[in-house]
Amino acid sequence: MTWTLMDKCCNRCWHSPEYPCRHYIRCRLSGPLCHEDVECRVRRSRRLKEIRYGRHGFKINVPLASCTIAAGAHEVYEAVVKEVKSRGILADIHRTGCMGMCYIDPWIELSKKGMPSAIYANVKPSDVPRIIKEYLEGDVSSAFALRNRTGNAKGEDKVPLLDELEPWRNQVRWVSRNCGIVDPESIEEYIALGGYRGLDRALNMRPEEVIEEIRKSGLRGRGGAGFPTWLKWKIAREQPGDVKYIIMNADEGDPGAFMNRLLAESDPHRVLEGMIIAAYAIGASKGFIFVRAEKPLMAERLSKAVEQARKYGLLGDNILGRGFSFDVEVILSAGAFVCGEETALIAAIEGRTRPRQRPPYPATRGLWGKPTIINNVETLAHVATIMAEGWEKFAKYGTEKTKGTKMFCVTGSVKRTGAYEVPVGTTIEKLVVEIAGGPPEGRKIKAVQIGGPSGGCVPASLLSTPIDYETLQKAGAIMGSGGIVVIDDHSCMVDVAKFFTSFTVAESCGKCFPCRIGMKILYDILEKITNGEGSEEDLEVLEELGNVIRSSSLCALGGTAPNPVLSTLRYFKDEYLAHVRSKRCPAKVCTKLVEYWINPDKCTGCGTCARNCPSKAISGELGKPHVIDKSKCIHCGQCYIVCPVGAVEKR
Amino acid sequence: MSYLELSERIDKVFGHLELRLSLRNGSVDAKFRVVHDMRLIEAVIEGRKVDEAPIIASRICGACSIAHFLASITAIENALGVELPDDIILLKESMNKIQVAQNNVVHLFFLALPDYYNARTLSELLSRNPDLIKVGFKLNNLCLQVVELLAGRIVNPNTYRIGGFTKKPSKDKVEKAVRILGEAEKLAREVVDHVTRLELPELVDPSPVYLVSESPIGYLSIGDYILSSTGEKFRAVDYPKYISEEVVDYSNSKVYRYNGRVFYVGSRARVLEYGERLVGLEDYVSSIVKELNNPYANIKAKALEILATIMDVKEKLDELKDRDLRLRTEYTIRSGEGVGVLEAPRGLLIHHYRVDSEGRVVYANIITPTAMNALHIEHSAMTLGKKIVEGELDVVEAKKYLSMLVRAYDPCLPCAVHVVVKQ
Amino acid sequence: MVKVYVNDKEVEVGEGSYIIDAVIKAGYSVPTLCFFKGIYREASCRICIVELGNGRLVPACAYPVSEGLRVYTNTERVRRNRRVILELILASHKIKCQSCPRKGGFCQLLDLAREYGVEGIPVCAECPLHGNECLLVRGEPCLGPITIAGCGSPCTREGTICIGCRGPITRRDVLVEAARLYKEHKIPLEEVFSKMKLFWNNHPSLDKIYNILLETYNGGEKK
Repeated sequence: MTWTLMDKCCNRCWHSPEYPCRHYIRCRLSGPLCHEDVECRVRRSRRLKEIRYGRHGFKINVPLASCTIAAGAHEVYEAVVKEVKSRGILADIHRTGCMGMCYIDPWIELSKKGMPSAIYANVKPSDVPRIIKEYLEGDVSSAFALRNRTGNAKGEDKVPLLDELEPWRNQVRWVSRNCGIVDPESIEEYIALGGYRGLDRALNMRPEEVIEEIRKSGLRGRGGAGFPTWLKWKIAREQPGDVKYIIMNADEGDPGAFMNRLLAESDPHRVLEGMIIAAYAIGASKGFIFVRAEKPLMAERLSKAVEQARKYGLLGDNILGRGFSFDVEVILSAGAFVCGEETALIAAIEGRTRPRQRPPYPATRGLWGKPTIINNVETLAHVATIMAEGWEKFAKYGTEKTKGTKMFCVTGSVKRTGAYEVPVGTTIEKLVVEIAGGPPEGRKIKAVQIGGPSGGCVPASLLSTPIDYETLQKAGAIMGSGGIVVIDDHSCMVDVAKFFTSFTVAESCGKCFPCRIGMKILYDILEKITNGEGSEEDLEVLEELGNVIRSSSLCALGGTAPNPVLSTLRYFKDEYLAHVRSKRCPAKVCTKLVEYWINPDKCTGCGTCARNCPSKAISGELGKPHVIDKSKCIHCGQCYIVCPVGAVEKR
Repeated sequence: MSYLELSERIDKVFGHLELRLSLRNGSVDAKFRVVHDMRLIEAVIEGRKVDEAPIIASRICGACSIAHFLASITAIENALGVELPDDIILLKESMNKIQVAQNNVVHLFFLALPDYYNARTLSELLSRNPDLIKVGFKLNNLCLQVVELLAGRIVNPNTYRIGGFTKKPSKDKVEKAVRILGEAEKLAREVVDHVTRLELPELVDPSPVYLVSESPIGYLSIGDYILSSTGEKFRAVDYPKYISEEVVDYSNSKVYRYNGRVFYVGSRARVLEYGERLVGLEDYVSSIVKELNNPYANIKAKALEILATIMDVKEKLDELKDRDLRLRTEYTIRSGEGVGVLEAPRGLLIHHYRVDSEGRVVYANIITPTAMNALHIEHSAMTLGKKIVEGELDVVEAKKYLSMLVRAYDPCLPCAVHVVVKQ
Repeated sequence: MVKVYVNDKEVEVGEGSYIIDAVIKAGYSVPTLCFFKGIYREASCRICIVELGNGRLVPACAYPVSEGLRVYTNTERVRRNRRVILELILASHKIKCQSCPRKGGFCQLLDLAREYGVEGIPVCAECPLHGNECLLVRGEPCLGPITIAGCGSPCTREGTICIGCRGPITRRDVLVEAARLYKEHKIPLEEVFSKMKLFWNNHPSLDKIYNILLETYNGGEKK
């Protein structure tokens, strides 16, 4: 084991979890503080440099997060290890988290003293030897982007700087600043980059002052509802009783939203730090991290972070000698969407299942009847950053009512899928078109679905809406956790609504009637419409029922579940009408409403379609154009999929 | 005065009608126009099962649904040759009688009486003479309670089916009915005292011929014959030979003649025919019988009937409450023809059905009292018209008397309009 | 004590009470199904929703009162929502009134369905069968199993068959159950159809009802 920043420089340092030192965090970077020793000081600054530039002056960053691993980062990592070994060079192969730019996954970053740091995109294991060879030879012309320019390398001018790239330039990397840079499994690196300073500062203040700091920053819950964080804390703080709890909601369930996972996987200590600060502010002695078992890496990294923090006395009794005790337990959830609802989450920890009526809110009566605060991963990451940087820097960004930045996951029909952090109040257009690159060539944005299954669709005409809790609500969507699905003109809005409804139908806990039965009926009606059996009365039922579910469901799941249906009904009524009146799907998605025909000019007569047709509706001689018998066709779309020359067309 | 046409839409009757009286060069003509849409009940009944016919028939009229129901069911029982035990007949008749009483209360208090107090509407009368109207409401309520006890519910009875009652009325029920009737009797006496003293407009019945269904015993019982004031008595089944029907172009109701003569059915006829059988009410009968050739006197006869039927039903129920009743008899479906005649609140009611061997109604004919009275109303109105011509009445008064006259007959128009023109 | 306004009527209730206590104290009522005082207060049926002054709909049984709270128990919006909720409850309710122990006047769902005019529960639910022989058992073509309840079953009470004057229930499960009953008691469907024509001759769903009845009746024990 090498000596790390976290270790004692010499025996004069006495910090341990049992006998904590107040200046432990500051001492790590600008230490030693308790004694003057040049050797110790040099030792620390040398280690700091090592962390920044690598021990051997050559550092290769490979991102290992769930998303990059899925894209093949493990193989790349192994290829890098192999290549470094075979070349016999001295290099630090460094694991990091994900940058959030999913479209370049897996990427690797090479940085050598005297050379610009170069990021290579979409790396395959077979590319690794070539990349390393070129880089070592001083050629960066095949890189995707550079972090800086030195003027020493070949082809430097042709490669853009990362800061100049559209998706990077428009971002404000506030909570995600460390993502893709630090090793998520190393507390040392986090501290080296200024981590746990916020905690140190907070513990120097009284809890009320911490709450005041957060109030001034204007931070609102990033989980979806946008409740002011300080107010929640204040309510919990003012509750009588000694036992209070804090829960980190890492049970991200929206399809298409992964910013919490990204943060917790790439920078887990920041999240944990925020949690400790929050616990201090409300006076909680015990915290729970409620994390999805379906996201094992996230759970693993959070557990590791907790372990490390405990090891160095950042969790446990008398943290940093300030007389504040706090410990955290990681709980694996079974993965239910309804656990995004506070009371359901609490119930899940208690071993029950369903949400309950609010009020009383968890801040007054929560886990085991005690005041409980539930904060989202991103909110806590913001807390840590605000406490470290001060509220002024945070409040600089954002709108009048909502300050700061927010991470959004842009998926769907865009060129640059990814998680981007922008100031609140950025327009949808900027996020979707400028940062995420807009839809692929030849397609048009039809709508943007914001807020996951609980959110709504905002039509293309409202793309200039600034993303803010209030404005989105007015447009019929919600901010939610920040998932943005871009829908282009190849998608049918009824089908989209059906997809999201099917999700909530499956995820409804079944406690209250409006959500359990109502959503099922909504889904049945949508299915009827997409099958071409709907009538205009059905649209009225959709609207009426949707409103009832929204206003009279027990929890927020039911309260927002009809949003996809209601918002598409509001903005895309003509598509619904086309489905029910002329039994036609304008986007040609709903297979029952699409007529398939074989274009005789393109058909080569290979017979593939006829062999695959389940209802034997296709006939024709080999080598001659085939025809579909409309009376037999069951609209399964199989021929459309299997045709090798694209002769089967929809109309 | 050479030409005058009075066209009155009469209010305070069941349904909508128009009476048009035209005076031209001394000649008088009256038209009793029923302006309801046709209801074609007979056509609805034809082709139905026998047990469904009474269900439909009772829906002809909400006010006198029991009369239609019983007439229909009696016709079918006759067609199927069902022999009913005395107990059933007695209860059946009680049902009818108490409904006659209730209908008469409604007619008297809510439709006819306001005219005699110069009130245009019931509410006007209520504010001016609340005690009287309260008696009416009370009496109506009491009668309805008894109707409900006997018939199952207020309209469209459901305790009776072909071949008898479905359930034996419990002793509690009968006792309750008797108690209510006792209360009602006192009120009814007040009413009769009051109404028999009313001053009526003067008018002489222009066509003093009447028909009434035979009551073998007592008053308002159900028999198989029809009696006429001319002394003729014929079997109900033979009614087509004596009563001729005719479709008129100006009205949605048919008109009827007895042996070619305009005739009358209703309370006056019943009191004239059977008044002497009303034991204990001889004084009342003798006090009004002189007036009974005046169509307006119908209201007096109706008032008398209220008391008479309440007393009668009370006595009958009191008598049978301790007896073991036989209320059900078996029947078999067979083909046949039957006519049911009984005295509905507004007069003679005839239901005539022919049933095939599968138990389906193949022919239905319903003759309602209002339809039979249509011509009689016209003739009475013409008599009134003549008075105008002779200068005995001025036009404003005539209008009032005209409405009072129509109301005195208590026509029920929804009953009258199930015309089917048979080709 | 906390001051609450129920339908603009001022009423004082103890702290920690729920809206329903205030409503009852003020002399109004809200329907409840899942609520049992002291035993169950989970607000899962949502039928007791009331409107607050700020326009929110909350369940009266589980929403705690606060000073100056304004509660409206019977607004248009509340009634509309309750109606839909009731329809949803009925949609998920297994309607087998013929074998339900709560029939004959004890069915809360029936009372609510009647109040809010929701179709779904057949006359059998209120046909007071206590000491009364079921007409189907006697072999009579009673329409009770397929007619909307709410009349108080005056006909079957008096021993005559139900003739369906309140209109048919068009729900499939109810019809299937009815067809099963008719079959069990060997009542020919033609007679039932004949009775159905009395009041439902022009009902838009008549064909559908016919077909479902016929299908189940002839379909044997198929499930």
